[in-house]
Amino acid sequence: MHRLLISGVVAWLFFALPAAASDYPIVDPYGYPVADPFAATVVGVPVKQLRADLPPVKFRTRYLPKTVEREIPDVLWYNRRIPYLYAMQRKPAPLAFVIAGTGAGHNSTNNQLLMRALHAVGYHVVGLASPSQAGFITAAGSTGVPGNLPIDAEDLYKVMQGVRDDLTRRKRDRDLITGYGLTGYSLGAMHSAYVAKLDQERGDFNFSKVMLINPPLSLYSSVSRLDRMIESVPGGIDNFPAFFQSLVAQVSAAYQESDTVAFDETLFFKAFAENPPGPDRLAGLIGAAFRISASNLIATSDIITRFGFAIPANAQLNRSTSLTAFSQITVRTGFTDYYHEMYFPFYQRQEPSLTREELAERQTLIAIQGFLRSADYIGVHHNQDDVILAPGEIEFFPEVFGERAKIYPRGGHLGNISYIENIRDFQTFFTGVAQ
Amino acid sequence: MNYPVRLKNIALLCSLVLCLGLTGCSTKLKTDGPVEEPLFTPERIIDPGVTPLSDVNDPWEGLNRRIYNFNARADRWVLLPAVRGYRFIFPSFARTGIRNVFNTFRDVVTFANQLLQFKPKQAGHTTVRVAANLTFGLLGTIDAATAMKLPQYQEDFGQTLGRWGVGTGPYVVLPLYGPSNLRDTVGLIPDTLLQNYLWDQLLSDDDGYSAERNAVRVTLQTLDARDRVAFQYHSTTSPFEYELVRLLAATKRQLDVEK
Repeated sequence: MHRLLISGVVAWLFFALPAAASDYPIVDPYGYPVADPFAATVVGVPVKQLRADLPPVKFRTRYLPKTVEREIPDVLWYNRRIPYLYAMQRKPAPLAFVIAGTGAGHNSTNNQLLMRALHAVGYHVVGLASPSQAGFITAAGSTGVPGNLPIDAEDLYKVMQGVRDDLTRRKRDRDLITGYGLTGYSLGAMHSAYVAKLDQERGDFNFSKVMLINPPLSLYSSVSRLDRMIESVPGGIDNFPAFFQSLVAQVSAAYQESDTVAFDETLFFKAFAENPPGPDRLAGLIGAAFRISASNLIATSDIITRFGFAIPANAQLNRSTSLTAFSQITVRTGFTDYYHEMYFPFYQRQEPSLTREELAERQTLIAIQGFLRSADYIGVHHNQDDVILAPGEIEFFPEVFGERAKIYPRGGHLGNISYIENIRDFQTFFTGVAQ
Repeated sequence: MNYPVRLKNIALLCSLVLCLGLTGCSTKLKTDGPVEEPLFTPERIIDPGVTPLSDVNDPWEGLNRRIYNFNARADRWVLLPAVRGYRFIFPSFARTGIRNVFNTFRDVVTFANQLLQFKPKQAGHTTVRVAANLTFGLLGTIDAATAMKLPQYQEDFGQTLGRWGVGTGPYVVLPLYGPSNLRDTVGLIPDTLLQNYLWDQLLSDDDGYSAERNAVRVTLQTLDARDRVAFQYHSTTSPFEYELVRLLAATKRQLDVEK
């Protein structure tokens, strides 16, 4: 009986097709097996044979000195430098930068995946942290208040220049880099678009290929969707602590000595990949994962700017000060509280006529759609059912990018990023030759 | 983050933790002048009656945080460079062999604790496991038991105490060793004594105890222990890494005892 049920579910997963018929071509028949977008987001590619088989690459880490003027607060002493992950080809080749998603570091799982994919087709590769990651905010975030895309792009640009100079510091390496590519996933994709736009003015890199993977259309719209997912925790928001505790138990149980600890969504997703929770808990799980990213971002920003969001503005923090109370507060506030109570007031101080709506409208791909329309070297890979997009938002991509947009019928948010076909399409985009 | 620690060191650490913990570093928030109330306070955001997220008992937090940071530095400047050297000198198969030998000694400690916890069936598995590895596994260098699908358990005296109903006591960060609690710190003593006794038997010859050979053993054991663990201090860059590690470590220990 059980076996019957399971094969039924598997068959359903494999053959379920997206309901909506669209005006533009979507990629189907498409073999990515997980039909539910929330499950896809957590589980990823469930079968090893369906994951892209990429050759292993030996990555190294180097560090740049901080690019910000300010003194690094003592309590964040470990974030004085800017790390980057890289792997070079033995001969001259183009170099591709990979920008991580919300809260994720230079060596995030998805950064490494994309770097391996690009290294396999002949690129030097460099992985960078997201400007929303605590370390980046501290050592490279010029305002200390991330999420303002043009400013984040400037900060990233500075780091990318630093990396380029660092990798070509020796005379014999001067001609090692023959050109530049750029990519990023999730928020990192949005950052990539803004960096590409900045580069069109500055011309330091002249990217020949830029690929955006599952970007939000509007930052505000996406983060408020993620914030609201927490409300679907069984028992409501008041039951969040108990729910969170159960997630932690699962993570602890799955933890092996050979695992690293990353404070982004992989912390939870990895523990649940084999054994996802029921459908009523999936959205809550995704929401909780982003809550911890939000809490890191908010607290770091609060410490650096002395804004007084959750930490008293005149607090003297040192290495033995307990931050536990602040973690309890910031995990309950979400990105939307950050937006309204800290981010907006902070930027309004610099520009008094600024309205909330105006600031939110600037943090969209719509704001730079003229550039995206004309820049024929920028492509986008997205999913029809991405859970960070509001209904209808997906239409923007084929409309603006035309043939440079590829919309997969399913995959949720990044669930299909390591799927064979996705990686092949990704590599093809960067080489211009079918892989 | 589990490094073998000699008994002497443990005794020293215990007294250090206890002495400093009582007088230790204050975790209380200091401010310039009267506290400027932030926008979001616990009173505003957390409803009364809702359990707080992390309720790990950590009265010595100030000292623990200092030791956590000390460990981060020791790791970066001493242990990790040493492990890089270890990986350079010993090829992968040699390191696996070394690891298997230490695992076999660990299995003996597990066996003793399984007896103390009245788990005869699991103790039987462990006995067969040790026997298989010492014979087919060429004195423990090859993990023949795992190849034979024999389960491997991990029991220590901290877990045994937990099984007997002893509470964890306060959370403790041990120098170099990492997260623990008072009960498990005490539990390290008999486990270490037993392992040292076994090693002394093996490494002694007609001339008696060899300090040099034992020093080599302890060094290799430390390098191997660090080599197993992928965790790197402050790699999350988060101001709350201490809280995260504390929560994960405490939960993990709780699950280990319940197993």
